Amino acid sequence: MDVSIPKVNIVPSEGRGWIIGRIINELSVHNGWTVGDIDNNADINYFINYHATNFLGNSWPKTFTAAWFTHPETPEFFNVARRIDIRVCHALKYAQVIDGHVIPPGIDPVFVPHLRLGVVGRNYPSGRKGEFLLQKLKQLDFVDIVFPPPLQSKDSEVAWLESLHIFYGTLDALLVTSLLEGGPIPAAEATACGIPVIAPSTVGNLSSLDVVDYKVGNFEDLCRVLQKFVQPKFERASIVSEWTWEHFAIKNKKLFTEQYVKLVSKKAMIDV
Amino acid sequence: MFKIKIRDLLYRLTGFYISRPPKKTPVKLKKIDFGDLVSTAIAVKNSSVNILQIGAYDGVSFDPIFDAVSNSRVKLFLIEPNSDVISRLQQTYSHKDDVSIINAAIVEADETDLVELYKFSEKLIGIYPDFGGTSSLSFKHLENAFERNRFRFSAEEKLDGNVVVDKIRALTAKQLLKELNITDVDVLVIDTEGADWIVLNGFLEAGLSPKLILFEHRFLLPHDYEAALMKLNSLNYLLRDLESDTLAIQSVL
Repeated sequence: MDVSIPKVNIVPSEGRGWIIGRIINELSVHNGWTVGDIDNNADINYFINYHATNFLGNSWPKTFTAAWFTHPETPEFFNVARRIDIRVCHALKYAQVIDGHVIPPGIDPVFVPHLRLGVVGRNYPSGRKGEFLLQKLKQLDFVDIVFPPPLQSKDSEVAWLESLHIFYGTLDALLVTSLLEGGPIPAAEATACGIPVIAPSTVGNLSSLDVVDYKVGNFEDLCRVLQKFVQPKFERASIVSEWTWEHFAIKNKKLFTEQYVKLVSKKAMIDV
Repeated sequence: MFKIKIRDLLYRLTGFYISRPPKKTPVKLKKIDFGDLVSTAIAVKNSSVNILQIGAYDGVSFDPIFDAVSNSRVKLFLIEPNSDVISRLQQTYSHKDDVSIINAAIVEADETDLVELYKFSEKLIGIYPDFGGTSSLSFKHLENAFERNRFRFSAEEKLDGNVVVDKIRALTAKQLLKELNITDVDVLVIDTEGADWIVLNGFLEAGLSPKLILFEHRFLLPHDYEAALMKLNSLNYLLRDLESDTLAIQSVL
């Protein structure tokens, strides 16, 4: 048994649901930390969040203490911080005030960049709408192709047009895969809504719109354009790429191990 | 390892950790009476205690310091924007010598000599006397107060026609301190119907460093209250929530 790795017990402020419960679960599952009432046989009792100390009264643990600090909604935030040995904060601005350590909670892997591309129009046996491109686009895992509600699903054409307006608003871009067109009308509608249009400018009247251009019928060129189009999303997402639950648990474990050694040394000095 | 896997499995199945949080009720902190603290400050200080009160109203109603100061050796600086109650305030402290009363509002910036003060009509205050203390530089504050108390009103009583606007003197914290010729106070009490953070910050920025501060926080927006707590904490004040007010005690450590 490695004596430098502290035994941590989490004292929760609340039970099921929402983010505090999730934080407790992840630390418990990844780090094997126990959860429950104060454990004086543990090395550190970790209050998540700091409100959990509200229940203590005079029964403050005999162990070292840690707490998760969200935000100062009442003076208790600062009062508890003064008594706690290891202060873990969600936000840097508060960590700076209470001499805490910032460890942001994890983000689930389901939250990744996607391009929501709308396709509006009918299919034709001739294939002039470029249906084969839509089939091939299934290869790109960051692309979601969505279609508007069918006209038959609405009470009237006016109601359908209104739903189309809402549909355009949900898109990252309208995609036109057509090989041959007079218009197409949806490209103008999306433009009217301020939504970008990814389309071959050589088709129909698309040269008169400010489209994100690719070579007509060319899947490779369409992929190049889509990858460039989605790039800002990936750049933005990279800011939080390390904010996983695994990292959260590892960082907590690392912090607690480091701080525990310091706290034990400090206590030994005081005892001497 | 086995334990962790069971936990993991249960978590994945249920989404909740195994152990439940302890079912306890929060421990209530010992009640603090601000008046008692002021009395203690007066008792332990050899010289006279300086007290600055912003939003003094009539000096008695809802007043946290009246009992402590009425018969004690203190210098009182009382600021009240509502001219209707100034004579009552003067009357309250007519038996004391060291009392300065100024009819003005404390504002953030030195941009204007006069500001508009919204207050409830005498007719409404006649029926609901507690509304007398609800004068504010913000009309919204009166609107909110009216809405909060709607259950007390009859259907005919409306906000329209029950609000009066006064033009009153405006001073920044710095200007007030200059006018009163003081550089510091021992006790600062602020009850300004939602302007409490602006007023408090004004005095802290002006270099005031009171030993005791009491300010009303119940009408503050969350980010304003956060700013107040952060600032006071950075200035080494110990803080305590007294329900509607926050107490700040200067730390000597």
